[in-house]
Amino acid sequence: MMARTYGYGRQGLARRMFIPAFVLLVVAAVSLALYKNFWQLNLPYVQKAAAFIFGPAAFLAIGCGAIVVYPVCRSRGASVAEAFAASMITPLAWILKEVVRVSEFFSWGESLYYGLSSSLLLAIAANIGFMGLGEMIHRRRLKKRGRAGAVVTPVPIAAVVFALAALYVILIWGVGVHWFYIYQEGYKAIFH
Amino acid sequence: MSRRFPRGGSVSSGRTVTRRRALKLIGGTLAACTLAPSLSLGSLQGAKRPNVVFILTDDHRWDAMSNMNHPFVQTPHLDRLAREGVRFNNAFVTTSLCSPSRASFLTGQYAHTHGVKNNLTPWSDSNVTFLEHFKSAGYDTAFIGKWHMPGRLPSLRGVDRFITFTVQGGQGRYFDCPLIVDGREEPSRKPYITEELTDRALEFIDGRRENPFCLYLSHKAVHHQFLPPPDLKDLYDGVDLRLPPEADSMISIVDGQVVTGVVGPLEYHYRNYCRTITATDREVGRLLDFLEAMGILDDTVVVYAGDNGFFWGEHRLVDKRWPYEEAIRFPLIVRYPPMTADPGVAADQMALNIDLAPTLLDMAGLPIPGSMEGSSLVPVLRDRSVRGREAFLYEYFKDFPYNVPEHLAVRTDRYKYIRYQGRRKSEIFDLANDPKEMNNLFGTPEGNALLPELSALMDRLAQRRGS
Repeated sequence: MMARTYGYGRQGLARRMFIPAFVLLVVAAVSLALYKNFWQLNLPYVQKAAAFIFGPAAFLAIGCGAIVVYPVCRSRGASVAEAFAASMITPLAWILKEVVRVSEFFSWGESLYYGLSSSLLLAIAANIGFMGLGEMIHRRRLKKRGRAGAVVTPVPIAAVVFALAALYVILIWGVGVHWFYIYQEGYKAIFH
Repeated sequence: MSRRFPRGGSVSSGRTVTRRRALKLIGGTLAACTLAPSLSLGSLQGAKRPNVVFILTDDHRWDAMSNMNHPFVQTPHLDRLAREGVRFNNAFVTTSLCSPSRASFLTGQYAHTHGVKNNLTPWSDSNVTFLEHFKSAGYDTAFIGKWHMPGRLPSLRGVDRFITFTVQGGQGRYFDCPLIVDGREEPSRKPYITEELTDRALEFIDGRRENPFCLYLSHKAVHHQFLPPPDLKDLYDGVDLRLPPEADSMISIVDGQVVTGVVGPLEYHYRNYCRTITATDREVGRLLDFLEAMGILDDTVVVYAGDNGFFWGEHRLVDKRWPYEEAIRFPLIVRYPPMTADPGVAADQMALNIDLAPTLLDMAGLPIPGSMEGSSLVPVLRDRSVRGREAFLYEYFKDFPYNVPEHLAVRTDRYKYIRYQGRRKSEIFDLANDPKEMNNLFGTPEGNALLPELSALMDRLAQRRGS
């Protein structure tokens, strides 16, 4: 029996997964490039405005992009796994870029460990949380179109709780200092 | 009546002096005159030896004081020190990072010698601090405040009182920071750490004693998280911060700078940083007033220094480590009237953090060990026109996870040459024409012309490092 789509037909792989992921990736890359390099134009007043626009844009695209990409993918018929993968492309690409960047001054082993540093982990955790929210947003839309079933279930709630817990442990607990020292101890244990 | 002079000599007080002996005497006198500035008042006057108070703060930029014409930060007590003593306008650290720099202040040695190369390599108990030398010379000594060097807390030799903290990896906390007092944990009696440490310092100074004292007072302030005491939390509200044009609110969270912990708008943190400086200045004032009330201020060498500088957006950086001026300069003020000519006249000679230990020993009339790599600044205190050093070597060692490549730099009074390890291109700056170091001359015709000499100078200065 064919599954009912409630107006959200299953589209091709490119439209339901790659295009949303690619659009977010481009937004993140362009915003980041403009944010980091605009100051070199030596236009102080424009630079402040540009930083105010492109900085948050890059931050939101990398750290919170899943809140857009995930429900878009799902509404185009992507499975949970496909929407998850699409949502993770931008944060993972950013982490990869960071790992390659720091390989300039760290060994490859250290660079990979750097991939577990607080801001990079937070990007992953935040996106997982936003996927949980995105899943519930998607279900709510389906429900409005007549689908039966609960909007709030343990898995998406767990994703949100995981993100909040990570936010607390990594950033809020001791203003990030405690987690940093745990991370440092890990480094010492592995590399010293 | 003609006076008879023996051949080859002269007569003095009825004693025959040969020409050779006369030359020896003249030479000796000249040598004594040359060395005189480096002899302490203590040694010249016999018994009188100065007390020593060394105040070290954390991450205090050299220009964040009102006596440096900072646009709004008020530091009236540091201004007093500068007015009554000597401010070194060109004081530099040899490694711009807390632990190595602190070890350099204590030992008078480069990081490659004392071994505390970053915030991970431990302090070696074989290192000898200037406190140990003072103790051997009969001083009462105390280390009060931030130790923050990797490894276990040492049982510091030559220290009668050792008060420190170990929480937050040795960084301590601004509020209610538990202390380790001679090995035993004690709660803080005052909520704000700078006030608590000052109280402990005053107690040490106030103790009954026969001997002079040497106090190392090392504050947590003004390090991240830049927290001022409650009564100063609104200070500098609304002032124009004048952050550099290349800075913006978010730079502390890009390019891995988030590991510095400066998370949040740059302006918020900078305002708090400035408040914390004024709070620290207030405690410096309390200490000076106390010494004055005891009638020993002018018998006491008072030195104020920061352990390194700090970027507040320059080069789009926060934190320190990089070899640019904002990070490698530090505030250095010395007050000791008996040994200071022209108080209030600043010194332009280059001073280094490794100069502190030999300078203090010299001021107390104690011998400077050959293992110390710095030089006494006493000649500069006595005469602001003496020739200073012409160049120095700067070194930075890898410190995971901070995003700074290992590097060496050489700084002359005009140029800076930086050689990075790894893929990063070297840098040459003409500090006279480009004081903000925005125009890298490396690879340009001008840079190519400068490179051989600067490179040779670096190699020569770095020879002692071994590899």
